[in-house]
Amino acid sequence: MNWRGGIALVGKTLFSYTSSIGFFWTLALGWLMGPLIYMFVWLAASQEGPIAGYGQSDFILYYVGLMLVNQLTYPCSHWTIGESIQSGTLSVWLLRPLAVLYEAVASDVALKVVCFPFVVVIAAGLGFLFHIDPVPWSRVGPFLVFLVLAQIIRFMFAYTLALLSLWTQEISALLKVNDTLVFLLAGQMVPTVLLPGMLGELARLLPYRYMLGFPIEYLTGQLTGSEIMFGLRMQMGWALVSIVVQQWVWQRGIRHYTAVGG
Amino acid sequence: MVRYLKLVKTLFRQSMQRELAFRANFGVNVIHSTLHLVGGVGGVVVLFAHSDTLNGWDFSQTLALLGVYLLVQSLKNLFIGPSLAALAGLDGHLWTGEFDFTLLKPVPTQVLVSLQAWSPWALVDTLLSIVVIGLAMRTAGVPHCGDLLLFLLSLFAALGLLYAILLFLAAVAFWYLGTPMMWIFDSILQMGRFPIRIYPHSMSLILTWVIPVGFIVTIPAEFLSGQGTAMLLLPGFALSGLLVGLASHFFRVSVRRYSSASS
Repeated sequence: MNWRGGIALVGKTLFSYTSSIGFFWTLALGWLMGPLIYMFVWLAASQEGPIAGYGQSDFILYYVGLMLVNQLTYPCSHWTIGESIQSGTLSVWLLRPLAVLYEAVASDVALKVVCFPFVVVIAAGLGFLFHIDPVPWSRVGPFLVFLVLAQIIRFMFAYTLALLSLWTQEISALLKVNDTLVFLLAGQMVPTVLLPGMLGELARLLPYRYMLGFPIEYLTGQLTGSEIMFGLRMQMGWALVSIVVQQWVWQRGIRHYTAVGG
Repeated sequence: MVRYLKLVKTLFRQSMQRELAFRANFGVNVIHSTLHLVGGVGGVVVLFAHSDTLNGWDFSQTLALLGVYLLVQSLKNLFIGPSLAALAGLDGHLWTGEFDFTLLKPVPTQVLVSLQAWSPWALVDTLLSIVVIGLAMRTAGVPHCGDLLLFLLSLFAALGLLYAILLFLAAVAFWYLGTPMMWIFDSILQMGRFPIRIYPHSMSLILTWVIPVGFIVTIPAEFLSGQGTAMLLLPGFALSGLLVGLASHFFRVSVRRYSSASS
C-alpha cells in the first residue's frame, strides 16, 4: 500500500475541486432536495398523529440526519470511473505506482470535504428553525463506526458496478438501477421501517439500508439493542462481501481492458 | 411563421439523426425513464400506505400531480432544456466559443438558441407521464371538458413560465460561467412533485410568486382533478407573459457582453 502517494493524490484532487466550489455546491443542493422534500411530505402526512412510531420531530431529525449522512456516503466516482475506462484515461492511472482504487477514493474524499460545509450550514439552519434537540454524545461514537461501514458498502458497490465497464459499454443503466434501489430501499424516500410488508423485510436483508438508513435510525434513537446488533452484523457482512467482490471483479476485469482511444 | 416551422422541422430532424446513430441508447433511455417513474410512483404509494390524505389531496389526486410534474419535465427536456444547455450548460457554446456561429446565422439569436437542440427520447417520458395521469383519472373519474380545457391552458402558461426562467438563467451564464444556474432551478422544480401547500407558508408563497413552481405544476394539476379555480388562470398568464418579456430583454442585454472564447 502506497499511503504517501495516495494522500498526495487526495490532496491534489481536493485542491482542484476547491477551485470550482460553486459547481460542487450546486450538485450538493441537488442532493439535498430529496430529503428536504420528503421531510415536508411526511410532516404533512403525520399531522394527525405519529406514523409507525415516527412523530413530527422524529421525521425532522431523521431527514436532517439523512441530508448529512447521504452527503457523507454518496459516492460520486462511479460515474467518472466508468467514463475513464471507456475513454482510456485508465491507462494513465495504471502506469502510476499506485493502485487505481486511490483515484476513486481521492475524488470521493475530495467531493465530500468540498460539499460538506454547505450541507452542514443548511442542516444546522433547519435544526435551528425546527428546534431539534441535540442527540446524546454517547451515540456519536457508535454512529461514526456505522457511518464508516456505510461509506465502505456504498462506495464499494458503486465502484464495482463502475468496473463492469471493463467488459461492457452500457453500464449507465445499471448505475441508474442502483440509484433507484438506493432511493427506494436505503431509507432515502422513507425510513425503512415504514416500507410496507414484503418491501420492509427485503430492505432489512439487502445491503441498501446499511449504506444509508441504518446509521441515521441509530442516531435518531429509533432502534432497540438487538436491532442495533443485527444491523451491525449485517453491515460488517455486507462490507466484507463488497470488498471481496470488488477485488474479484477488478482482477478479472483488468485482463479484459484494452485501452481505447488515447 | 412558416419559416420558423421549417426551421423547427430541420433542427428536430438533425437532432433525431444524431440520436439514431446510437441506437442502443434507446433501450438505456427507456430504462432510465421507467426507473424514474418507479421511484416517483413508489414514493406516492408508500406515502398513502400510511396516510389517507396529504393536506387534502387523496391518492389519485397526488398521482395526477406527479403525472403533471413528469409531463412538464418531459416537455422541458424535449427542447427547452437541451437547447439552453447547449448554450450555457457545461462545455456549452459559451465555453467553446461556438456561439459565434449562432450569432452569424440569419435567424433571430434568441429563436435559434431556444430551438437548437432536441432530445427526441423525452417523448418516451411524455408518453409515460400521460399513462400516469390516465391511471390517476381512472380512479378519480374523468374530468369535465371545461376542466380539461383549463388544464391545457394552464399548461401553456406553465411552459411559458418555465421557458422564461430557464432563458433568464441561461443568460446569466454570459455574466457568470462558474456553475450551470439551470441545475439550481431543476433542483427547486423538484419540489413540484408534491402539492406546494405542504411546505411552510413562506416557502409556498415563494414557490408561487418568485420561483413559480406552483403555477408550473400544482395549478395545472388542480384543474385536472377539478379543484382548480379558473380565476387563477389570469395571474398565471400575466406572470408568464411578464417573465417571458423580462427574460427576453435580459437575454438581449446579456448577449452584448459576449466576447467569444479566448481561442
